[in-house]
Amino acid sequence: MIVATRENIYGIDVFTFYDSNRNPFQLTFEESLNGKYIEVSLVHLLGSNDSKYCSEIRKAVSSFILKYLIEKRRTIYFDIAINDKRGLLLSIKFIRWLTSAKEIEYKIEVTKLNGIEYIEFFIELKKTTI
Amino acid sequence: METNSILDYLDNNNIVYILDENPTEEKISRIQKAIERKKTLMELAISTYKQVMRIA
Repeated sequence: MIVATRENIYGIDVFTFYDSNRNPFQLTFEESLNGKYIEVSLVHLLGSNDSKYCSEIRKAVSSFILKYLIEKRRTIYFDIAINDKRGLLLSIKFIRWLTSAKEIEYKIEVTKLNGIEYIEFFIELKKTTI
Repeated sequence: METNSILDYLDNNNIVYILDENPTEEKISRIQKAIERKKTLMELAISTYKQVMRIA
């Protein structure tokens, strides 16, 4: 089981954790510029741009996001500019999680822009989730 | 079947979404700024981590 350390750095909630191969990751939750939602980002701290995050990472990230939603009761926002196959695969993985998670509801918006597809996710807890 | 567009995937899986094919100049500017900002923040996180951990 992956365990994260949590810090608040200049108002950003930062969860740092490692996979079983000791690859470091940071999951950050930051107030959006318009104050309407909280933006979430996942960074591989060694700079890998690989979207093939293993299932243990996906499970951990899903769990952290769900706990954060329960704690904050806010809308979580995530965006991906899909300009290559990796972006597409990452988007599909994220959508699979969204559609399988029973505790949340979501809105997806896709914008066509200069030959790329820009996808935005708005995620909230279902009203019935405690 | 290979998917080349996220729209194909969403359509094939009956997932509801909003599509904007003609974004306003204001929205285009917002998106371009968001993409740049995310890239900058990620690079900053990576370089900070490497400095702290003394990774070349």
